[in-house]
Amino acid sequence: MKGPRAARAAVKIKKRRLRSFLRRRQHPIKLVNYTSKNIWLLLMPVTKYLVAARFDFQSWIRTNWLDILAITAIFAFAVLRWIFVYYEIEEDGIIAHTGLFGMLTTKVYFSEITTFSCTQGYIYNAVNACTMYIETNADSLPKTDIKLVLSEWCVAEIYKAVTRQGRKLPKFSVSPKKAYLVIFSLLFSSTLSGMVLFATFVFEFYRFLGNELGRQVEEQFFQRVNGEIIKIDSQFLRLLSTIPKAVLVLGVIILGGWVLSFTANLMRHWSFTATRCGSQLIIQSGVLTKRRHVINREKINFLDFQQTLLMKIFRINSVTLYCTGYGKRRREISALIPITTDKEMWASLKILEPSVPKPKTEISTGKRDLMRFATIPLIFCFIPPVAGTVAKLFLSQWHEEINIIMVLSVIPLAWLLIVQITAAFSTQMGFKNGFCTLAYCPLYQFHKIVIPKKNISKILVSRNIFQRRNGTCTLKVYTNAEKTKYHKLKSLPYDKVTDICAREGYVMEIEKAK
Amino acid sequence: MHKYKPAKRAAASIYILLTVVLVVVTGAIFLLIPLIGEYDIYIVAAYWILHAFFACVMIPMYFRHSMIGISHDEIVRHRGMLTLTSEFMPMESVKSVTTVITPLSRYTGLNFIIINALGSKIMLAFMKKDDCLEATEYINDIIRSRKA
Repeated sequence: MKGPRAARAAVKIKKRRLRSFLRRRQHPIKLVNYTSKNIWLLLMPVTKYLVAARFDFQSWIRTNWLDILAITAIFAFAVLRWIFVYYEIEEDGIIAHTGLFGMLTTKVYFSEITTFSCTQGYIYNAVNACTMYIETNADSLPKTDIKLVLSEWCVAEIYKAVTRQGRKLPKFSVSPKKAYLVIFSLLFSSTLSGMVLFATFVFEFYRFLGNELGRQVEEQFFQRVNGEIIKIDSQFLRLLSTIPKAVLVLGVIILGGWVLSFTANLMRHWSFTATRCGSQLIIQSGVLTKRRHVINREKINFLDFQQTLLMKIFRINSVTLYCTGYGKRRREISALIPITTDKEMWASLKILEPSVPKPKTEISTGKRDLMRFATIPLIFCFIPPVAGTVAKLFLSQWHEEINIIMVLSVIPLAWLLIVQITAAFSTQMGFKNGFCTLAYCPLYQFHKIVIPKKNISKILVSRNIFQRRNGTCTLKVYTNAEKTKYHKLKSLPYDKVTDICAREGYVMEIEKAK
Repeated sequence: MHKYKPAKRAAASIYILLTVVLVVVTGAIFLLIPLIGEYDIYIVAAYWILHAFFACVMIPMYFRHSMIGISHDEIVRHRGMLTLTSEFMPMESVKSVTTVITPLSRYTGLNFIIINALGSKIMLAFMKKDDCLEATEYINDIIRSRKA
């Protein structure tokens, strides 16, 4: 074979080699991540010089050669890192070569995967890239066992391999009703979670821009927003003339936090679908940031039925699922069934996790434990009035503002008192059909945990001096998880707890043990 | 079931250590901080009371209440000073054992075992060196037989 045909064949072979080389590598957008986060600070002045020199490359290179060299070196290093990172799919698992110059080789067996996740933000969506995470129960050297930024095509290939076992099995799907989502998100979004979200955003912002530049941009932004608000207020609302500025700011923060939380809740759950397929659960969610998780059902640590006090009153529930890797990353939650009515929740749970029984408890706290739950929140309720009264002695011109802030800070603490009084009647534990049920309320949220007995890794019963006198104890149940995770139930009757534990094989006395 | 109690030598080591700390802190208060002037005697007194409480109440309580039982199926541990705690760990949860043996530990009793499970840990502190090695070997044997 000679002449043009041979040349064409050689080109074809080269193309094939290049394709197979690129096929199992990360998406080229990862190169941007690999370059220094502040490289654009170097890039901008260099580009500015080039424009100023009217694209006279010779003089541009002569004056900026050091900057250009630095940028080229950074990019070259990024390319080098990118080249060495790749993955291989085998019959029984996936091998990832990661780390600096691919020095870290990790093989994860498909049977050991707890969660396979892929996340696609709107920027990655535009370039068909996805971040893929593979997690196991092992406490591996990197935070995630395997984390790669891949093209959609590669992720689809891995997804196919991971979900191979259930391809021919029937699928059972559950999606929350959109009307319920809107109404319940509207009713139960919390300001606090919105503020946490805002804090996360600010943290990311600073991380991206660096401290000094971040502070400058933030100052400019707030000055601008402040100016606009004052302008709108002076033209239309005239709130500042009637309400003190500090109170108005506080009100805006609370309202802003709530709006943020509401929007985030809605966005997260809008297209939420959970599907049971053999031994796997496939969960898809998100509007702007699309997420897809494949969860190994056998490796689910426990289910958590969560409620706030209002949700408890209106019989609304949401179920979260704890499995290593699911809901681990920032701005992710580990939902199995998003907010819905109790009836719908049980129907959905029967479809998704038919083996989980209805929680059954055997012992509970009650009226006699009321003071044990209410004392600390009650003390907290008195702190703002006392602090306010002291503050008024020193700041005589701020009386009105202090009064309003005092009332505003008492509200969440009084709410906490009401929640804890309710918790005094609903802290429970029990065992049924190989599952342990624990119901408790650490702060504002009620949790009902259903754990398979085999996932309990440690039980701890402790009694302080007061508890020894009144016959109660604190129970801590540690569960199988990547990191230490426990559930703490206080003021349970000691004798009953030890009896139940002994019946279930958790003998706490060394003399009585086998 | 194998039962273990903390080594008495460990208590002696802790008391020696506490005495050294007492001398150093008292010396520091008298010599290095002249700024506090006439109040130094009160600070020293408060520190000595705290120290005496720790040495005479807390440490004996810890050694009296500490006990560990290791059997083929479970690990039970009692500990505590003012708050008494009982811990139970099923042996099937145990994934690995870490042993910490300090220099001269046969004389000081400063030997520790950390039993690692998924999502929890149990630390067995201040054991005799022989007990420490025996318990480690026993748990490792169980893990080994499970894998086989």
